[in-house]
Amino acid sequence: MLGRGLKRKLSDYEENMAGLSSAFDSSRSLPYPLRRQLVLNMCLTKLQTYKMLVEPNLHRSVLIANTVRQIQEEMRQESNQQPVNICPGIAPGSHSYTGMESPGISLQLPSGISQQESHCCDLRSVEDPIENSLLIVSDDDMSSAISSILKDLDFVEDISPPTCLVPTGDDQTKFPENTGLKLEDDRQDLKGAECVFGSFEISNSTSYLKDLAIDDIFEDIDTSMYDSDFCCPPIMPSRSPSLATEEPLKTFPSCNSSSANNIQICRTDLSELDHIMEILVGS
Amino acid sequence: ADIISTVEFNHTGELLATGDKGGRVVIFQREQESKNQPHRRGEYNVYSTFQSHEPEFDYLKSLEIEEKINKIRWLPQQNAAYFLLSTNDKTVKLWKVSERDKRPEGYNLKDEDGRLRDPSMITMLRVPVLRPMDLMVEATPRRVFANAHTYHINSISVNSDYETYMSADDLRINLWNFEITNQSFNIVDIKPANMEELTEVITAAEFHPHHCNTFVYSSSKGTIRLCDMRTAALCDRHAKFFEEPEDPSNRSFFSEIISSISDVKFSHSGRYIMTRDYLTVKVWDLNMENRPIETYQVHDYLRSKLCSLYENDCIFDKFECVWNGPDSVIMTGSYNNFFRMFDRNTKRDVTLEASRENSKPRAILKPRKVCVGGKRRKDEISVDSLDFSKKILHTAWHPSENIIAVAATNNLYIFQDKVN
Repeated sequence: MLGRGLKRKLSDYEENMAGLSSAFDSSRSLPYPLRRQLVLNMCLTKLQTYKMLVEPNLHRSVLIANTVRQIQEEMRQESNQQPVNICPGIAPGSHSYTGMESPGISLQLPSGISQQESHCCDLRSVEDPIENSLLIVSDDDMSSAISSILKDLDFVEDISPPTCLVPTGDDQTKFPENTGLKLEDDRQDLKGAECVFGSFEISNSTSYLKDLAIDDIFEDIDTSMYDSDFCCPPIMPSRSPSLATEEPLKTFPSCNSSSANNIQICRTDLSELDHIMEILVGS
Repeated sequence: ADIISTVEFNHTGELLATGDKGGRVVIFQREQESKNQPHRRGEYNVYSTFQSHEPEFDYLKSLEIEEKINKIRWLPQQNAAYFLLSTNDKTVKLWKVSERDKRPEGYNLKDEDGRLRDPSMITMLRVPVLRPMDLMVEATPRRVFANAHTYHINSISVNSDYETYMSADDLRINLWNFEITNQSFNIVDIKPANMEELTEVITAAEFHPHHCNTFVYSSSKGTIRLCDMRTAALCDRHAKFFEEPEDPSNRSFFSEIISSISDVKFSHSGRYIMTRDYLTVKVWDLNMENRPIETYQVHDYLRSKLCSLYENDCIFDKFECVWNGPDSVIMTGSYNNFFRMFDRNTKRDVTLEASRENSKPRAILKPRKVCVGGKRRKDEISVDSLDFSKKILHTAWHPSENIIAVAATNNLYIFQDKVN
């Protein structure tokens, strides 16, 4: 069907996920942080998939986003309770999942972990203190990513130009070369799929007006005055600097690249449009 | 045949309507019972088939609108014709289904083919007479209620005043008058000013069967709100709020997802509401908001499989639930083409299967059992052999008799009580 195109690569990552979810269900001995990480990865994968759809399912997106927030909040509490130190070992702190296997295991260095099944390299990302700090940093990114997904689902919303999301230099250097592709994949996902959105944004110069799913009241608005050949750099005075790289991201129908309508719109003009619309709608 | 997406008996049980993924509606009618063939007690045969919705393309949003029929609701019969509402994601339509078994013959100005006669050839006046013809059932769209929903419609419900009905999508509920198609009243709006704050969506809504001012709607957080339209035009503030406190021993990462209510139904008496979430069916007394009065486990053996079910998206399946006529038995579907019935009085429950291989016509359904672990008995099925692609989401119960309709993917099964 038109506009329904969903391209998914069946990557190793996804295949591993299928095995992991049954491992999650069948094995009670999987440590709690690993299970949580697994669920988080699945959530982010799903959100990423929905992002590719023309019209993500709002019900599912909200449920998944809530689950991510919940996990994120728990991780945040845990990391607040324990200082990040050289000796990895997560004390779980208090958490409400009393039904879960007690994660009171302090897993040793990554070399110890490698003795477990190869799929468990996710755990490394939790235990490594360097990675831990990345975890903390990415919480905000994650919540912003969730927010951006939800904003996308809003059919009446601001238009914003694509942001060039450049991963910060120090993030790059923190990737140990020898952890292999898998950890990098996890890191990607753990950054709240922001990198995914980012790369998606950069590569796709698209027609924002066409993407924008707006109410019928906007139908008669003449937007030709917003045609321009350049993209204004994003101006975000209202947001904190740490979130400056976050922008509400748009959902792009995969068939849109062939559209002839390439409109780049400056943010300032669009806030004027919103202001006008607010007056008209009388909200 | 296409995947059936909704099943509904009319108020007398004489008609059974099904909607499918291709936008078609098929109506079955019960045969009159005859003394000659007592064993063929009122079987259902196809009465009418029509295309209710077509796929549409929204050019502004670059989206395709599915023609799948999400819900069908009958209006009570007020004359010889039957009326039903059918809806897809965006548009509700009122259809009139009527019979024609006579046709007029003997027009003055037209001949039998319909062609105009030459006026100079007309020498006398005659009155057309009605002559019998083969029964023809025709369905005509009488009203189209469009452009009122930004999000996907999940429920429609006819008010007991028979003049209005409501349609609910993920974030809003609109009230319509049957006669007016170009406007509707918005009575519930849970869309936050900032979509980033959205944490809850509307999953189902229904009018009270007798009180035309009362309706309920359920949410993805497992709560039900009862609203009274007399208090305000916009029913954002509920009159009653039904929520069960969470059981901490059952907590998991998926707790919220499995608490999302997929269906809410008033009992025929109007005293109770029944809700279906992923693993249970709950009966609530309207007078008690803090917990349900009854909870029935539909397939608790899935609780240990939630991660896999989340991974393959089965955890998002929306099962419906139904009451029988006297409100004594409730029924809902499960996987592997199983469906479950719970007797509220005897507290007994049964699992039955809707499949061609396991039941011949007129054979009595054998109860099925799922074994959780340990030794599997001969007729039992183990949890791991369940087929999760065979899900029974839609069922219906005749309003007064023990006749049920069960939709298993693209097959419709109709079961009746055995006649001795």
